[in-house]
Amino acid sequence: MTEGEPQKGNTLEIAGIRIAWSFDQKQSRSINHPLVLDARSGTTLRVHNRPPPPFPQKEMTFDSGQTWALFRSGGKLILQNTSLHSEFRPSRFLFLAPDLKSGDLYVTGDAPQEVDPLGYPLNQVLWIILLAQGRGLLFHACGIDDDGKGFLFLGNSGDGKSTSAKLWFDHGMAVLNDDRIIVREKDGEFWMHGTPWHGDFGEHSSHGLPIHKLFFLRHGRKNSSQAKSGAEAVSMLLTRSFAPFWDKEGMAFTIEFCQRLASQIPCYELTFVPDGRILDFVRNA
Amino acid sequence: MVDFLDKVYKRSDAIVFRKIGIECILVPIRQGVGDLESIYTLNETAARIWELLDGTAKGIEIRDKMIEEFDVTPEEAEKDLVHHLRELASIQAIIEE
Repeated sequence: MTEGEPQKGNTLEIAGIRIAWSFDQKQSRSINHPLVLDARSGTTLRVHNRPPPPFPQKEMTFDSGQTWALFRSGGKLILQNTSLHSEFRPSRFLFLAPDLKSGDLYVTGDAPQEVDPLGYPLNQVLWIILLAQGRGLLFHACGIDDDGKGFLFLGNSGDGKSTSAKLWFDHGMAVLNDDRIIVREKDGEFWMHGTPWHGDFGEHSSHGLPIHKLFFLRHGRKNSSQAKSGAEAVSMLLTRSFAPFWDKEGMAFTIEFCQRLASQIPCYELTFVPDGRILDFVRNA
Repeated sequence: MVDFLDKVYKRSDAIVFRKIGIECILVPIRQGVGDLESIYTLNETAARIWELLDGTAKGIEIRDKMIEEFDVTPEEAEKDLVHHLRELASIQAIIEE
């Protein structure tokens, strides 16, 4: 961790979206947390160290097949940390109110971590859900702060995001994150923000800055770039994002967001050789 | 081929789409990750067919529109239309009325 820890007290703020939590009374005594909620928070959670109340029926919304599932029950959106088909029982359930402004987190087994009681992957999925409300999008991407110029490198696993992060870091530039970057709009500009959810390269920062250029990464035998635009660029953005594929309204916003991003920021497909020459190549693209 | 020309199709409610330039992007709403790469880009002809699939026009009427709007013969228009309808049906993007 290099700077700007996003966690502070009973809140977690990432890319300007803040959640706050309080532990239920029995637990708050045991871990010495007061029941004080942060009025600036977008979502306030109450954390219970016990199994959830029974829910009658599940209306499936999305199942990742492995680490999480989302469903509706009793008017609430419920997120659990296993697939509905998993042989393992979930140890975390997040019940969200329809307006997403409040919720209850039920934790069994290990006590919830004070800095982030949601844990992986519920923390990331909650941000995906909140971003889909017209706020932005989480990308599979590496973000670099090149002395105030933001370069966003998008790619799926193995495309070179962590390699790129290390190269730029070794040349003195700040790495926002090598695997997960949130993009939001601010005053007509697209900003990229670091997240705590890094990949192989551990250095990261929670700060944000405007995006100068964005690149779709590919390993190659030489450094080369090709401009991308229109539907092709939008499609490449979508396939490198964590889009709310279960949410029609959220998906409509997401496509439109990618369209505006691709029309405002120069986009390139970048093949690169992993050595220092790529830095000037990117700067001059 | 005659089958497609006689039928009326509409766009599925489970598809989110957006026109981008002359092309159109389709994204199916889904409940699992199996097909996360399934984002479809329609070219100019397919995008126009997609627009015309309003649940009232028969295939043959769409074909006639294509003949009017594009520089194609009736045979070419029919072949294109049937090809794109088959593709759209295969990804459950359209529903027969």
